[in-house]
Amino acid sequence: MLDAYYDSFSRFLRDGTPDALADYCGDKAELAYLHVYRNGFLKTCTDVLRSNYSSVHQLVGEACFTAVAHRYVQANPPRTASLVTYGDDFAQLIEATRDLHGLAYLACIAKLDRTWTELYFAEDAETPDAGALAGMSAETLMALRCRLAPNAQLVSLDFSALEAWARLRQGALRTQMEIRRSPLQILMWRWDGDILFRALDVAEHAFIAGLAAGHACAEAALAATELDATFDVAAGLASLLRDRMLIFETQHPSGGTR
Amino acid sequence: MPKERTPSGAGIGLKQPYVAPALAGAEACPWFEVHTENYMVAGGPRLDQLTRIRERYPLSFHGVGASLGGPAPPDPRHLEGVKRLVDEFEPALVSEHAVWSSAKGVYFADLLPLPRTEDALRRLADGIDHYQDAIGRRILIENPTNYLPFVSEMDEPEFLNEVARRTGCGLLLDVSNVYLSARNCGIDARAYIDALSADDVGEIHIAGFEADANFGERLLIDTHAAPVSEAVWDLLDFALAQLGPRPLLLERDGKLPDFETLMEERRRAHTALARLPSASERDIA
Repeated sequence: MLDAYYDSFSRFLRDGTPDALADYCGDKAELAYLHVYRNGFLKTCTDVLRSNYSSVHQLVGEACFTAVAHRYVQANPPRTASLVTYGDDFAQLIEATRDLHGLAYLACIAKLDRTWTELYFAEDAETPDAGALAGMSAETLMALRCRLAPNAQLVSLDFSALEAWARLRQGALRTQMEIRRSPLQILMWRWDGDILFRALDVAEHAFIAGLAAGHACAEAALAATELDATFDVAAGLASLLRDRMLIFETQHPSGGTR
Repeated sequence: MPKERTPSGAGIGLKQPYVAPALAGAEACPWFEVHTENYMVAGGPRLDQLTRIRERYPLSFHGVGASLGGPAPPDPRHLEGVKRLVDEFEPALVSEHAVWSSAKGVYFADLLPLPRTEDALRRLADGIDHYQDAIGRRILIENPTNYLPFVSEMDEPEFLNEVARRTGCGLLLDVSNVYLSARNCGIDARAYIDALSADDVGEIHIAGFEADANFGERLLIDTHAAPVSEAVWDLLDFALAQLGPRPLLLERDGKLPDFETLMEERRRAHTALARLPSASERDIA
């Protein structure tokens, strides 16, 4: 009997039809009160999505956001009891539901919100600072393999939505802004509890993407200098280390791997 | 980190906007409770904040998602997450709910009712055993809010007393939940509290509620998004008179007032404890 109860209740929470639960209710007239639970399920999930995608919510408003969020919850109910990072593929649903919001760039805004959340709760990793390069020979430097630490991510956008997003996060988007269809590469990272970001030029993006893909520094540098012969590899590497965004994958000259 | 301290007096649920004033020590609050699941993260500022809170105050971890009475035992990954947090922060109290919330891999993000049957009692006791074994600690189990009566073989105090007897867990008496269950389902709130095993009650919660948008006063919802009602304050006085002083928590999860306003409400809870004839200085902190 109990397993049938769980099944009936689960179905009700997904589709809103309480009839199968009638046998378990003491007073059939009160069956409508069961909607408290379904409303609670949808409200909690929607509240989390609203918090995790606050820029999207600001852009489309409460009614539209709730409609998109409910569609998301139906298709992607939570799988874990910690909802802190719930909504990992919300940007995909936004892309697929343009009929609801009409904004071609909204998925880019969602992607930036998502990256912010992932970085905010990312693991605290041991990362070397810029001093780690001191005394390193050019040969060692070029053979170095790194990866991005958990507190840093590259983001690729199809629209120039970064500035609008940044203003939304600050609650400071008060005038219309032009958002063009134009590829944009961004580096976002957590530093001392804050989330920082900057747009990358093609060479710097190629360098960081190469490192992130596990290529040796020499290969990443080559990819960058092919795009911009003036790209300064040492400065680029030092900048990433200064902001504690890299983890060394190869033997560090001072001893063990980091 | 200082040695684990048992909370006493009236604490509050620690929501994000309250972290900064709590750390600034602007107003004395003897202890804080957090929702365990909100700290199941890999790293970052939120865990740092909790570390700083824990260095200054006793903490209680209140779980909302273990689904102890669910169709399957609690998710082992969830229990590992709870254990990691319990080991790191050494909370003075750990609690969960006498409900279910997950089935077949889906988490329904609400505290779902269990029919009070022997079968459900076994499931709940089994879930509590799993939880206590996983974290190596005794936990407290909170009574749910009832919105409609389900076919049951026993009343709720009997159900909870029995689960405490079988598992060795304690009870967290949510006075507001008792009040709402009484209003929604027509039970006697005072008789309910009288029937609970007093020795097992290790903590008390109070919170605000709101009338349902469709059914009005006929259906009161446990929203934690309003000040505590006078009726719940009265029932709290009754519960404290029956049980004696217990760690008392003011919950507020929605429509958050500023810290000062919540502290004013907390002071009323403090006063309720302080006027108990049996309260010692330690009980009211």
